[in-house]
Amino acid sequence: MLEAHGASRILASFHDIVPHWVFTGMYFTDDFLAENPDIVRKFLVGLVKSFDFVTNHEMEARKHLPKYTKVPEDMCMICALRELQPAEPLSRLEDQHRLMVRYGFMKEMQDISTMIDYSYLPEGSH
Amino acid sequence: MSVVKKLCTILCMIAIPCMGTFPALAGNDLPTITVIHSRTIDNIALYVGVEEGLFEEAGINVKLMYVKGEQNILAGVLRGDIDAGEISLSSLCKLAEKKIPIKLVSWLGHAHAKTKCGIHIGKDSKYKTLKDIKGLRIATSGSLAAKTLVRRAAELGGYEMKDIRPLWGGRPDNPMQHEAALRSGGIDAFIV
Repeated sequence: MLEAHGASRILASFHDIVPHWVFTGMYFTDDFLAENPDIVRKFLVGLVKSFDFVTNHEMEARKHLPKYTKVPEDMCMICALRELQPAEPLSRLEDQHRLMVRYGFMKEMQDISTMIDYSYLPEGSH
Repeated sequence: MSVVKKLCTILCMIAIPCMGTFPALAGNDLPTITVIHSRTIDNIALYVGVEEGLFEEAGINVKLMYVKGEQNILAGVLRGDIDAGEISLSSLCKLAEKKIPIKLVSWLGHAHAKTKCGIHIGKDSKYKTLKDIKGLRIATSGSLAAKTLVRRAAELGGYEMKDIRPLWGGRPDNPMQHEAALRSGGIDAFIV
């Protein structure tokens, strides 16, 4: 957006700094997953369909952004989107985690695989 | 008209306009979950899922709720006020240490070659590449992710943190403030 306004230029993107930098993900409590596995599966079927829709009908998808983000429509139509992938490889996540530990922002490596469960994703997306 | 007929007519007059408002009356008896969103472009898949009817098609109603801050969201999820929350990888790593009983079930994307998020500098800035960022005054949110990216950027340029001037927590809330700060020369760069 800053670039589009002519106020800035990009010195290095997240991808330049850490390739495929993983941002955020969706989570449920363990209790909710145990009690409502079908609901979670349905949510993820819808979410993965949305990923496909955004990928294959990008301009149509972007039209929904102003309603929720309050970002001006012209900006919503040109801003860069993330590459949508529901299941990131564990090695990619651990590499990112390793940097945090190496730079002293976290004490030690944790087994993050215990915090991730791709089994609710629809077939073929993990 | 009998009393029964009158009652039926009144009920129909009330029920028909309400069918679009209340899913159960419209035949939509799908389960509903409350899902957090952060009013960002990065939540595009959630917005598309709702607006294009993709969640309904999958057999579920999704009610989006805005809550600011990962801690607040986590508290809401653990209390059961919110069903699904959003979390960064860095925060997930921290929660792994504390063994918080949650599971991440899907990521919401990663950076790629066309990503525009990153270190933005003023249009006419003297800084050209990561190799010449000595002294760079860079404002960031101060999050673990931002710190990691700044530290890695310095390393790629051949510098240490002492060679640049990060302003943790100095990231404004909106693009106009970013723009003003860059144009005023008060800051050289943002992570955004």
